[in-house]
Amino acid sequence: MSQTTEIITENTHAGSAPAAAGVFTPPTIYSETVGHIGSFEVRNTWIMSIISLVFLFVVAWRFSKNYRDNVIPSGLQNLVEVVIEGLYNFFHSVTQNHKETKQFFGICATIFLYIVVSNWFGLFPGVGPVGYYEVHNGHTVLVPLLRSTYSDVNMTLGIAVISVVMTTVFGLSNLGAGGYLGKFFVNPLRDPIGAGVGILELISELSKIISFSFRLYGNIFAGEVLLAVIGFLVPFFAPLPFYGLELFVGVVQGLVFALLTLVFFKMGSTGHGDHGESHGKEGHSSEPQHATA
Amino acid sequence: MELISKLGIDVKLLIAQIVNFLILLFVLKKYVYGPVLEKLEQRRGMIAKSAHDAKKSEELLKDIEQTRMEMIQQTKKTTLEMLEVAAKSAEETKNSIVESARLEAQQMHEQTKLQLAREKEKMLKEASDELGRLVVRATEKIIEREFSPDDQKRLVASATQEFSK
Repeated sequence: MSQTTEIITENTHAGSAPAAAGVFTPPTIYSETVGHIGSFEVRNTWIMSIISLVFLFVVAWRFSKNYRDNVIPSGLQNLVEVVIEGLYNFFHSVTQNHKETKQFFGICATIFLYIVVSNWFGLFPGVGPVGYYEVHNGHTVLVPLLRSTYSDVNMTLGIAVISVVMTTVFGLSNLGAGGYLGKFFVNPLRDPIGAGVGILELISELSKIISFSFRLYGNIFAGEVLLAVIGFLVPFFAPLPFYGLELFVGVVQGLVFALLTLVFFKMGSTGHGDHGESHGKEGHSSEPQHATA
Repeated sequence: MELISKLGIDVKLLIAQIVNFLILLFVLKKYVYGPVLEKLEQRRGMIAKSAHDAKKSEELLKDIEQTRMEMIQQTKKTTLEMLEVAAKSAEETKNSIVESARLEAQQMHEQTKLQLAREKEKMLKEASDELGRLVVRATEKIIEREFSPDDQKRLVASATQEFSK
């Protein structure tokens, strides 16, 4: 913490912070660096992500303790089971194929849980207003110590990169190198339209990274700004409905991210030429599984 | 590049996020997803098995019920048959007993009659013997008492006389 003066909350508006008093300062579009570990810049969003990770680890640890031996699961185990089973059935309704659901489940469910938990943790009191004042370009600004994880492009970009890279990995493993790359690279002499479409597909594949990261970032950042504005205008009671809204948005964004990832995985693992055929086959193979399920 | 600096993109942070995500994925997969899905699968299997078992036991129950009914029917039939046979055989036995009893009675009757006849004959003979002896004895007594020695002498003499004649 380079120019730390004192830790202070915005709501109290201490006299020692002249710039903050009575002036609305919106959250910055980038996450602030609050410290350094070696050459690694510690951002406030990174700290929040570590808090959510620790929370998830603790839940996982508490959950897995004597889970296998428990015939009747306890409270937390029940909750986790309900969430996991719900996600599994939801994902299965998309893929219609148990093998693929199992293959994609880990990444999609982790994306969902990580995003939802992080978004909700970002709504805790103290996230945002607690920080220290720092002079920046001649202005004294509040640097929050904690900030909602996904109000930072780095964080959303990280997940988006994983999503897109894994789409390629699953595509390659499920269709083979020829089948998967054949979707993008078509001989222009044989099928000029297909070749053009292939190039577009390749571009859209890359643009997914942008759309993924900015969708989540935009929503969460907008929520931060919204809460800051409402909290500035009417500090009491008025922000409550918006907090409820942000809780909802937190889940929806997690669901959208996970579901889009799943859909892209599914699309990436479905061949271009054998679209109809593989559909028919899947329908066939999934029917008996349905019957047993 | 201005965009990147304005958004505060930091490659190290990006990599840190990716690594964190992968660690989270690994941990959740190992300790949560795997066990839960395994258990759900197990439970599904258990429920399917119970449903199957219930159906099977129901069928078995039906089978047993049917067998029971059949057996009862069979038993009833057998009992009736046996009763009939028993009644018939009882009738036969009765008839034969009556017949044999009648025969025996007749035989006994005849035998008795025969014996009685024999008895009577014997008695008659005995009685006549006894009577003879009694007559002799009475005669002797009478003779001893009624006849004085003179008479006896006379009688003897007359008898001798008669015999000698």
